[in-house]
This record gives sequence, C-alpha cells and structure tokens, in this order.
Amino acid sequence: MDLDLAKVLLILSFIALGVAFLTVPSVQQFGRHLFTSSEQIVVPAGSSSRGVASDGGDRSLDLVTFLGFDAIPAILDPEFVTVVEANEQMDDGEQVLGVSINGESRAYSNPMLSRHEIVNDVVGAVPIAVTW
Amino acid sequence: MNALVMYDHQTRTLWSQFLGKGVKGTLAGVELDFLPVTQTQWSLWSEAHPDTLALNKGGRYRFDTYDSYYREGSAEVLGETRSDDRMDRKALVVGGILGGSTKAYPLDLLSDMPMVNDSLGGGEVLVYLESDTDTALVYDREVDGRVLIFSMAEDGQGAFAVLVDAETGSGWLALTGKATDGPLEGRVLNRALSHLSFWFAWKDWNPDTEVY
Repeated sequence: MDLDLAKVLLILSFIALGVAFLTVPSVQQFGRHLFTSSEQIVVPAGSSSRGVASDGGDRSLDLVTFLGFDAIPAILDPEFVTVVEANEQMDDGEQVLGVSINGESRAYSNPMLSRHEIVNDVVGAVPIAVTW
Repeated sequence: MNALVMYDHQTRTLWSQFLGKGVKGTLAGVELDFLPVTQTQWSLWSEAHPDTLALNKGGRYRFDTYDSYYREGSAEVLGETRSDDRMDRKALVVGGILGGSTKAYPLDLLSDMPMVNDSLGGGEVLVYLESDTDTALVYDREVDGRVLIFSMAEDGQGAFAVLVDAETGSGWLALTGKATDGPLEGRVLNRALSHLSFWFAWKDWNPDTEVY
C-alpha cells in the first residue's frame, strides 16, 4: 500500500474514532468505563424507607467513581450578597435553589451550583448542605 | 442510577445525595434530615423573600454548564437502571414523599391545572405549580387536625399568587404557604418532602412510585 495513502487512512480512522467518542452513546459509555472504577455496595435498610429494596431489606447499589475526592470543589465558606447586589449578578430568570429556615432565606444560583455541586452553609442556626 | 455521591471531611464516609444516607464508611446507614427547598427563578424568589441573601457569584458563572444536558433527551452519565415509559425520561416531575410513599406529578399536567388536592401515603397534600417559572411545591394540607381543600384565588400572580381554603376562606400565599388573611392568618402550611426531578432519576431511585 502507498505510504501516503496509509497515513491518510490512519488519520481518517483517528478522526472517525474521535467522532464516535463524541457522538455515539454506546461508544461514549465504553470510553467512560476506561476511566472509571466501579464496586457494588450494600445500603443497610435502617429505620426509614429511604434506599430500601422493595422487599424491605438492604439494597445493593453500584458505586461508580468518575472523579475523585474534591475533583469538583465544594463551597466550604460561602459568601453572600443582598438582593440589590445580587440583581447586578443575576438575570431575573436565573434558576436558583431557595431555602428558608427560622426566618432566614438564601438563594443559591444553579449555574454556580453546577460548578461546585455542594454548598456548606448555616441558615437560621441550622447547618445544611445544599446539593445539586 | 445516577446521582451525586459526596463525602464528609470528618469521617470520609460516602453519602448518596438522592437517599440522604451514608452508603460507605463509618457513618453508613445514617440518615441526614431532608429540608424543603424551592427550585425557582431569582426574580420570583427575591419578590417572595425580599430579605433573602444570595450566594455571591463574584461576576462569574454566567452560564449553566449543564444547559445542553437539560435540553437534550439523554439520561447520561450511567444511563438508566430500569425502563418505565409512563413518561419521557427527561420529562420534569415534582416528586412527593410522604408516609413512606412516593408520587410523581408531571409538570406538563400541572401546567394545565396548577393546583391539585391529593392524598399520599395516608396524608393529604396540596401540589402547586407556578407554571411561568416551573416552581413546583408540595404542602401538607392538614392544619390542626383538619384537612383543607384549596383552590386558586382570582387575584395575585407570580410571587403573590393566592390560594383559598374552602373550610375557612383564609387566603394563603402559594409560594410560601403562609396565610395572609382570614381566620387562619399567620399560619404556615408545612411542606411535604419534594423536589423537582427528571422522570428517569425519580423512577430509578423510587421504583415503587405512583404517577399522578
């Protein structure tokens, strides 16, 4: 085979592989499994119905690691602004998670939550984790 | 099943966000308390809570990195655990949890009928949707041992939409559950546990869920 033709075919096949990774769901899934670890864990039934199997017993879940500890940095010391200042930072239609506890209210911007996933906060003297 | 797993700094126990429960480590099996949260738009939240504080964005985070994920039809990252085609996988539902029972209320349905008096897990609930902002809330509609039946009042829109109960004629702000006039003025409806979810996640985590 002509050497140049072989190079072109090689490059084309890399491009095809790249496109497949970007667009074909089953190939995407395969790609992810190359970079992840998975283990089966058992969640104890405990006292409430949360996470309990339909027969009322322990429930088995797959625990899959895509990203390690702190790969997505949680917010540990959140800073806040008033409504007037926040109006400068946020569109009217911006999605937020709103929380009111013991007369104190907070709004957490969803675009910001998407980058941090968790905010550790204390609202109305109650320590909370806001998770997205 | 897809949902965030988080850890605590003190014990490095792993916690499932959707279960609110330790799943691996020394605190496995321990449950966190769920608190009611309102997913809504900034304008509606700040009108209903003018004294609210907002997380400081510091001029960043102009776009939501998941915008395209919200729009597209795929469940991503790990796909689905079980198929249940009562709805499209990315249909939005408000999932209610009461007395060990779960029920999904499709937002599509609620947008034609913004308020539902319903029963769930042996209790009585009120499901409310502010459809311009996809703000969906579930309240416990039992007050002082009496079950109230609600309908929408004529006046009041958005953050100031008002519900009226048939038993006392009191007016209640739909977004905060607080009665602002009538015999029950000052009372606040308790929120039932609920949150907005894509259908695929709700039915994977709550396989026994009913659908309204």
